[in-house]
Formats: sequence, structure tokens, C-alpha cells
Amino acid sequence: MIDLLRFKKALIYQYENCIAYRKICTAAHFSLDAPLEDLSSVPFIVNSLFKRSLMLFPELICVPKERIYVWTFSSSTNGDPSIIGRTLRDIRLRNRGYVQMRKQVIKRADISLLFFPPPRFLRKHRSILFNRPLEPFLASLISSRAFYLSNKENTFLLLNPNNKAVTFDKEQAIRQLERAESTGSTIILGGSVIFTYLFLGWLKKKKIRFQLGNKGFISTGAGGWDGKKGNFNLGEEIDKEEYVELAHQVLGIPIDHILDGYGTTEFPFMFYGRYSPEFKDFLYHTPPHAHVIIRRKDDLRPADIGERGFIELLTSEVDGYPGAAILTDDTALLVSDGKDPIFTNIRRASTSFKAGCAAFI
Amino acid sequence: MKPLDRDKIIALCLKLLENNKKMCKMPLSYFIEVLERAGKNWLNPDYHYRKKAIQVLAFITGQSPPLIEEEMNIGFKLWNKDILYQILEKEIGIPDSLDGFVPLGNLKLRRWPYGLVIFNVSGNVFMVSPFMLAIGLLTKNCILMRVSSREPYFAGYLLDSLIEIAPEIENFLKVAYWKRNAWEDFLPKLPAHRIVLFHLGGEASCRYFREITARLNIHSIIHGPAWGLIVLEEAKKEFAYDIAYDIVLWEQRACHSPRLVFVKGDYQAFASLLAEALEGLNQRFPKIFSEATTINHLLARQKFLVSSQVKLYAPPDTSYTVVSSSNRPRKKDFSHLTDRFIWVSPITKLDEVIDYLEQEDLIPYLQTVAYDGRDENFIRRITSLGASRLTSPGKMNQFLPGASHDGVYNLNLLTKLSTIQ
Repeated sequence: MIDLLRFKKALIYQYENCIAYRKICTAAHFSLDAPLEDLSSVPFIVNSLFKRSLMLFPELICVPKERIYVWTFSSSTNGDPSIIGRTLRDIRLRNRGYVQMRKQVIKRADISLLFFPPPRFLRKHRSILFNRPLEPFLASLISSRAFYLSNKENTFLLLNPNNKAVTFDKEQAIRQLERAESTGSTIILGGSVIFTYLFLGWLKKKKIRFQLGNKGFISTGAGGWDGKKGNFNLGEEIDKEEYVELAHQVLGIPIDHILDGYGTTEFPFMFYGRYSPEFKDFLYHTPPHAHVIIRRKDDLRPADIGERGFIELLTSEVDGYPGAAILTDDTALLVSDGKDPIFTNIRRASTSFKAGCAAFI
Repeated sequence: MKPLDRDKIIALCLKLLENNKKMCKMPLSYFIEVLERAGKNWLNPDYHYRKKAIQVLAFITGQSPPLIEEEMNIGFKLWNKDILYQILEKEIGIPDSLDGFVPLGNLKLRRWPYGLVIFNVSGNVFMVSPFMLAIGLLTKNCILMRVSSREPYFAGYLLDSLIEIAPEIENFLKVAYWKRNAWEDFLPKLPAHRIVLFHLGGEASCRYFREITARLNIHSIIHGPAWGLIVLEEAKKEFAYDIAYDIVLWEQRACHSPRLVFVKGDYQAFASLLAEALEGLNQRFPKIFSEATTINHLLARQKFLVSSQVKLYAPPDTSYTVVSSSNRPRKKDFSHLTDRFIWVSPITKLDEVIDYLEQEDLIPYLQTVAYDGRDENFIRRITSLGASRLTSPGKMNQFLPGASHDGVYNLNLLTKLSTIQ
């Protein structure tokens, strides 16, 4: 849910402090003098505007460059990441938001098995931009202890990326699953859905089964359902129904313990989704301080329930960059509207068309 | 459509080459007659293949049925006996030379087909298929059309529409699909001297076909990539509708579609008129919104607003966008100038157009220029640089017999000459 007064304050702040956003508002004849009654009337920024190739990200900030704490970049699948300038407040807000989202699943877990790379790997991708660090979006989050639901000794980051391929520590994962099963400990698997899916498929192939029951959870996030994440390409989409059934069978956990989060680099909060057998998909819920509008592709008006449209993300928590209203190039179906809309069936909007003899590339 | 494997493509090509002997012996008038009869059918709104094609093309190309009908009406008007003979006369001089030796001064002259022309059909303008069929038949080359996986249907309907009139024509024409990597496998197995490879495409695909045909010594006709430009000496109101029409046809995705308008005079007022005209045309040819076109318009609007001093004339939806600015788009911006997205810039003298094209390295892509003036120096300069077709505003989509296609005559390139002295 979003507080309208607070949201309007955020809009005024980014209008006054970001010339680029002001230009967009002016072109849309949008005035902040009138009372804000309709969130869909607020001019948004298209998330692709932050792409490195456009080189506009230095103008998409609300504070002087010296106040940027870190420039974060997304795990782009096409080699053109988004770059966002974030203040320390933004980073804290993002970290808190992500932790809160995970804690909606389970407050604490005895054991965490995460398909994340070790922080030292992400740190290798750090560089300097405008005298400030430039790093992967999740780098500082993964480095922060607050993010983890288990103590350090019982948290296992399983991904081992190297130049040739990404591998994961299956033996360690099996050892910990066996330990959880035999001791009745709570255990959470999470991170990238692609590697979670690959691991579950491998367990099935090897005929390895666990009965974790109510003590087992899966919490994946940030895309990958199309089989692509960063440089990794599975070569096929992941069928959600098959994935949930696989997790249920192999780990012996209830379906409502299988969750997924939706988030983008341009937005500080994650939307957690619970699997719905009816929709054969996850239903994503709106976190605090955020709102969602699903906009129809035809007239860009808010979609009705059951309609597909572009996902627009809104928040009243803005500091370093103009992120109050971001239109993503993802689309989803609107399941329910109101103060905390629910959406499902997220997919990347098709952005290519045949240019043929008119294409310069 | 199932992709053909190497052996099937080779067998198909060899069969067509064999059949070409028979095709050569048939009179040119036969093929013109077939095209004219088929053209009349396709111009009939009730023709079953037309109705079927409109339905399929609307779904696949994202163009509205009224727009597809307009494009069909323009294109199939060329399948007319008088017009086809005019095209032949202008492009190869003496049409009878395709049937036998004809006197040419002290010589006798005959034109021969190569044998087989393989057309690689591009996906941006569906009416290239009838154009390809016509130039293949007019030069008595057998035709193999390799359709795109995205739109494999229209060429098939065309072929069926000809077979409906003249069943024996099936021996000379085939439509097929094969994967991109198959070219390397089958082209080396064909008799290079009897093949023409005809391709319309973007920069990367043209480079690929130039390279492979040069390596295999195969005659190629390659068109693309290209773009259109409008230069107005006067910002007349009546031009706004004409230009909007040129923008809307093919949803501005054809190589001859305008991307940029240079205007002497009040360019902002003209941009506003153009927006009004596009708004009006949207009633006649409604835009079909796709995720790709919508997000491209939104992103491009914001990109230009933030990076350049521009004024936008655009509705809340993405049915069209007119950008007016004293700045000009960079070469890399051109990928946004499509699907009813046009840029209007002022000029005080015509030399600025040439300077801009040179500075932005756009000259290699220059093709159709709509120009309302008569400045001979400008016409000489811009054509010498590579503008192959100059038209009036609103006529960029009209191809008169004898009009240049990227600087060449296709019928000439599809035939070989023999002379007797």
C-alpha cells in the first residue's frame, strides 16, 4: 500500500531535483499543484532509459553525483545492463525491503541453501564510476548478514561461477538437506530459480528424495523463468507447474512453501509471490510502500482484472534516483486491483520486430 | 512450415533448373497474361485468397486490415498488362528480346534468364512477394521463394492464386522455408552460373549474402539497408497529409519510408500539422498496438526528451509521435524512427541536409527522398550521393515504371545478353 501524501512528496522531490524527470512531466502537461487523486496520471520513467547504452543514467539522479553512494547494475542478459545511482539511504531501503520480503516466508531458518555466488565473486565485478563504486545490484545485499535467515555457519552459498560455466555444490546441498531431514531443522532453498530448478531436476534424475514437510521452504527471485539470467541460458523456459510439482515431489514440502519474488534493478522492493494451482503460476503481492499499475499496451490506461499489460512500479521511497514511478518492459496479468494489487504470469515484453531492408544492423 | 533439409533444397533447385528450359520456350505474353489475371483477382475485395491473406497478415504483421488492403491495392495495380510492358520497356528496352533475337542496329540481341532466382523474402514489407514473383516471371527465371519463419503464408497464397489460373505454372515456382544456416550447405552444390540470389535485408544479412555469393561466384542482387527522407522548401499545410500517408504505409518499416523531415520555415507549426494529419489518418488506418511498438515509442520519447532539446506532438497512447527539434537525430536513433514516429527539423538552406547526411555517415543508407522544390544543384548533389529515387511528398510509396530500385534495374540484372553481329 502506498501513502498518497508521502508519494506526492516523493514526486515533488524528484521533480525538483531531477531535470530529466521534470522534462518528462512538462511534456505530459502534468502539474503537481493539483491534488493527486489518480496514481495512473503520474508520469512514469521507462526502465530501459537507465540502460548503459543510452548513457542517460548520469542524468537520472536526484542528488549531486558526489552524494551517490554506489552505482548498481543489473544482471543483463543482452550485455546492456541498467545502471542506477543509489544513495546510502537507497541501499539501506533496498536491503530492508528485500529482507522483509524474505521474512514473509519464514522469520528464521536453521539452514539456508542459496543459489547465489559468493560475495567475493560479485566483488570481482566491482569497478569505479564517477569516483564511486559500480557493482552488481545484489552485491551489497548478499554481503549483508541481515539478508540471511540463518547464522553464518549454516548459510551455504552454492554457486561457483567461473569463466567457462556455472557449477553448484551438489554434495554440500545434499548433506544439508539430509541433516535437515534427520534433525527436523527448518531449511530454506533460494536464490536463482534456474539453478534451483536444475538442482531439483538432478535430484529427481538421481532418484534422491527428501521428506522435509513443513520444515522446508523454497524462495527464489528476480526472474530467470525464461531460462536466462545474466550470461547463463538454460535454452528453455521453466514451466512453473512442473517446477512446483518437482519441488513438492523431490523435497516433500507443501506447495504453499514454494515462493518466488519479482523485482527489478530500478525498484527498491521485491514483490513476493505464492504459487496458485488455479493459475498454475505465482500470484505476486504488493509490498509496503509500493504500488503496482498494470497498463494496457493499447491506450496505457490501467488494465481491468484479467487483462495483460506493462508492469508499472510505484513507491513513495525515493532518494538518489527518480524511481517513484517506473514502467518496466515486463508484462503481467492483473488478478486483483485495489490498494494492494495482485498480478501473475509475468513475461518480458516482446521488443523486437522485423526491420528487414530498413534495418541498420 | 517445416524447414527443408539440404538434400531437399538441392533437389528442388535442380528440378526448377530443369523446368526452366520449358519456361524459356514459353512466350513472355503468357506470363504477363497470368499476372494480369491474378492481379485483377487480388484487387477484388471478395477474392478468397485476398480475404484469407488479410486475416493472416493482420495477425502476423500487426497492421490493421484497412492498411493491408491499401498496400495490396497499391501493389497489385502493378500486375497490369500495360504497366508490366512499360516496366519491361524501361528496364530492358525491348521486351521481345526475351522471346527471341531482335534487331538492335547492326546487331541482333537476345536476353536469357539465368535459370533460377532464389528470393530471400524479408519480413518487413509483405508486398515484396508479389514484386519478386513478377520480376522472376517477367525474366523467365524459375522462382524459389524462401519465406521467413515469422510470415510463411502470403507467398504461398500468391503461388496458389497463380496456379488457380494456370496450373502448369507450378512447375516454375516454389515456396519453401529452410533454416538460416542451410545456405552454406546447399548453395555450393548448385551450378553457380545458373543461379541468382536476390535478397532484401538489413546490414548484417546483406553482408552475409554478399560474402557467401562472392565466395561461391553466384550472381547476387542485394538491396538494403536503406531509409527515406523528406525535404520541404515550403511548410505547406497540404504536405502534412501527404507525408502522414507515406509514414503510415508499411507502418514506416519499409526501406523507402520517411524517417526525417527537413523543413524550411516554421518547422514547429509543420510538426503540429503533421501530428494532426497522423491523428486523422489513424481513423482511416488504425494503428494496431504491439508490446514492441508501444515500448519503443515510450522509450524513444523519453530518450529524446532527456537527451535533446525536443518538442513532442504525441497523444497519451502511442498511435504516433512527432518530434520537432532544431537538433537532428543521430544515426543510432534511426531504429526508433518507425511505427509512426517521425522527426521534424528546420533548415535554412539545402546544403545543411547534405552536411548532416555526411556528418552522420547516413549516405550509404540513402534511398528515397521526397522533395517539393526544383533546386537543380540540390537534386544533382543528393542523387550523386546515392539518393536513387526522388519523389513528391506523398508519393514515396508509388513506384512508376522505370523507377530506380537502389540505383539499379532488377529486370536488367536478372537477365544475360547474347548478341549476333
